[in-house]
Amino acid sequence: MARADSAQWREDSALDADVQKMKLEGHREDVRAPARKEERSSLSAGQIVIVCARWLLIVTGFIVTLWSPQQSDLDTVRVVLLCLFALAIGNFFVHAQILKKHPLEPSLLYLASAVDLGIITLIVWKTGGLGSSSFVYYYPALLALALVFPLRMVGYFVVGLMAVYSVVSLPAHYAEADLQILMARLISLLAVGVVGYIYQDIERRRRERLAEAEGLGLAARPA
Amino acid sequence: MQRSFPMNQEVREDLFFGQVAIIVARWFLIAAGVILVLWSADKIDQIPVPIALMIVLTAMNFYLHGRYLVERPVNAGLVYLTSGIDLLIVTAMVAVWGSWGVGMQNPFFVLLYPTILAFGLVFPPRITLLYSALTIVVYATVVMVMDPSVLWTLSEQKQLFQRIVTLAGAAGLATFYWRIERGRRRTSETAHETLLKDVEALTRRPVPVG
Repeated sequence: MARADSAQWREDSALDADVQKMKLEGHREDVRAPARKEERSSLSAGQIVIVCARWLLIVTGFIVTLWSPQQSDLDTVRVVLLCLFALAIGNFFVHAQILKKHPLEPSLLYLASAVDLGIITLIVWKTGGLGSSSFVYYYPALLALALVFPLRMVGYFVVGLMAVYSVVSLPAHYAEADLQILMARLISLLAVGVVGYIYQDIERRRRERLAEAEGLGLAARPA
Repeated sequence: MQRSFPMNQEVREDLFFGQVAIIVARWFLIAAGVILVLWSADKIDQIPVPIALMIVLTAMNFYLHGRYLVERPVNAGLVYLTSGIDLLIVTAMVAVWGSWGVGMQNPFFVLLYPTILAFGLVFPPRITLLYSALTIVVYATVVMVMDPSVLWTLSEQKQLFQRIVTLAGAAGLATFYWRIERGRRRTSETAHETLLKDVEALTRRPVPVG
């Protein structure tokens, strides 16, 4: 009898523990849900900024590449034009999705931004590393993603870009002046990433404050 | 429907909340300026003037950051003035700091990107357009005056074109984002007002207090 009671008690305890665990998980889910929703909403609303930054890169890239090209640059021009066409097709697809009100999944968006930065890096590498003037395209691309992506992703992109650009641009035998120029560029890239994210965060807090005030306003409205 | 967010208040709030973006951009400008000047100076007499300029910027930014931290941000006029000083100092460095060459060869122009971006994120499009146009014209003029070879060298013309387009692009994207965010705030506000009206219509009485 006692053994049966004990078994029943153990079974009940296990069931209670499961229910408690499920409740806790549900609660955790509830707590995380608004943050996730806000993150997704920011990503959806900001996608168009990234698309516009990419159009800017594509149009400027075409103009500069086709502006009196030299015979000696034939191979570079081929590579750059192919990259730009690929980017234009990809961006057309993304832009169409946004126009159809079907914004891209976050993972695809991150991938697209990584491809942007990868293509700019390829162009920088093909056109002379540190001496290449194409590094300026990093700024619009980086600022667009810093205004839209969550903090962790902005951090990965900024740090990754600084590391990759340093590797690609520095010549094997560099002078001190090269390092100084690289340092100026790295600091400005970091600044653009930080300022972009800070502003995104400010706007998120403003929306939260507004939502809070509206909630209070509903209760405190004069009868 | 009466708007609970009058236009002037919204502009003031944009300035209040967004000012920190300009302040942070200036801290980066100061850090880069100090590091590069001290690192690249060949002679001791090259150091005092640029570092004095950086000290002026630091004092100015301390004041602005302090006012922001005690929630007494400065007015728009002072922010325009300080942003103008940023622009003057960066273009002065491009014009005279000769360790890497002046004009096109000078790498200090990259510090214009965070400055122009922060300005565009805080101020309305009309003012951003004026500030960015002024920045680009001043920079292009300084480059052409200090390094006239840009007028007849194709590669330098291309470089200048890329810099101008990306500077303008940074300002344009900042303004675009500013408009998106303003739109999101207004949409949320309108949705709230509509909800209140619907509740009142359904219950046929005003939404109660408390």
